[in-house]
Amino acid sequence: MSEVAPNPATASSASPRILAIAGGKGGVGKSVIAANLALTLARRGRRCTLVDLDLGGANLHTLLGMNNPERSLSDLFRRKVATLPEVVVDTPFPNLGLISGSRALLEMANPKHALKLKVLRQIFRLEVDYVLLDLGAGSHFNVLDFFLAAHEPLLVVAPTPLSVENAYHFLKAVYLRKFRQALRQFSRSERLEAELRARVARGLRSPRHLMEILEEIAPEARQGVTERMRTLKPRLVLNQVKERGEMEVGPKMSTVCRHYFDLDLAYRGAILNDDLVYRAMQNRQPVCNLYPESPFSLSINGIAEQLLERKEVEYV
Amino acid sequence: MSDGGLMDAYHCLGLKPTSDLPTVEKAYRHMKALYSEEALATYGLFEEDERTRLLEEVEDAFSRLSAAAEELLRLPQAPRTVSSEPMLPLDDSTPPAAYLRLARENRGMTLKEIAQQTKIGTRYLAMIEEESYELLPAPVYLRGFVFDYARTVGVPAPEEVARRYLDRCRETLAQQD
Repeated sequence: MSEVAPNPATASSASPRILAIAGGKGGVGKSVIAANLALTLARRGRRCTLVDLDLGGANLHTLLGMNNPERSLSDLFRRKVATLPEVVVDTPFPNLGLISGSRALLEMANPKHALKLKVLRQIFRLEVDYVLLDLGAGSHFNVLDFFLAAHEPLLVVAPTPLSVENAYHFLKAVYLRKFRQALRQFSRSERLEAELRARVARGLRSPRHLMEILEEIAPEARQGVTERMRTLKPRLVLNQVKERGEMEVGPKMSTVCRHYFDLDLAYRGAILNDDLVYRAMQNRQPVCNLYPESPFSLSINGIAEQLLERKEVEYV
Repeated sequence: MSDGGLMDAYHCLGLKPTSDLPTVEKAYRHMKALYSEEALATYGLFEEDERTRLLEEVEDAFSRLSAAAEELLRLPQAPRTVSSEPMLPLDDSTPPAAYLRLARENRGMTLKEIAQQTKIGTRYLAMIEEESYELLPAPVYLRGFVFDYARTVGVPAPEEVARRYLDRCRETLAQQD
């Protein structure tokens, strides 16, 4: 997806910073985090657009206390409208727009590559400060490509075996996707492609095997691919933390990713399990709006703080 | 690998090459725990044999780094040129510690080699050379250590060197009190 990323030399305050929030698994609180993070950034005066790309179960509008929006991505896919800004709807909150994914399931269960590129290109041109992409569960190509295109690819994990396992599955898929893209850039070896496909089909065991195959068949591409892989910098957020001992799962996952994948998985912090999140959802309100002092809202504030600091450092 | 894989070892433990031994030990314990069977943080990531391999890598990195840290204790770096001249007996003007080190360097031996022969740890051997009297064990043990060291590096009168070393140790400690 590198071709749709803006050239850093020409990036200005006019191009938004893209956050992608993925979970690998449903039910880890990805959408709740996306909605509340966007709201928190909007409250701090940043113009934000939330994009509901969880096309099988688009529900961001409900989390924001809205009824099913009259416009959605579906209108773009059906060519009822020509551009992405036309499907942005206002939310009850200042500075916060929503692109709903409701009713888009049929058209975009498997959107064509060209359509996906079109959506991505237009996302990068939205005239806001932040775009937050709420990605669907699973490791489908479409999820991976949006994740890879983002400036801030955020992976949400809960401290349960199921969620951790899914997160690693997702990271492996992301890694492989990125590796293939890098490979196309640095090597045209058809033998390598074929070999890669065969090994993956037999069950790819570790990312190091990829590098070993590369070394064996196309050593000239190794350096370029390695450097390209270094630009892959997903972030980790640990959600639904119930016990103190679970906190260590985040830093430990960072360590194992560095050692096993040679991947820099920056840990962005833990969010405590909070009954007020449930209560806010029952009230169809974002918890950051209804209970701004709740543990969840304070954690989201901390993550927003990190994002804002980062942005200011980068654009100075 | 020219550095004996030290850079790889630091990389494996996720450390900067300037990290000190306590930092290395902490990272090692952290990663060893990570690859223990019940770690939630690695759930479903790899198969049993891969976990064994990762654990071996961590063990290997740690043993390289701790061995390198021990090497550093032989101060200064001994040139590996072996002199065939036998050592003259210890005279009154030479401190016994300096004499022992000179004898060792003449033989082109490292502290590690002496440690292997005497079964005295390199830390103690280095402390003997550095005259770290306050850290060394009680005289009854120290006498045996110095004697073994002296004999291993082949000086003419090891008993005499050990006696002189302990005298000096006693004097120095008395002055400090």
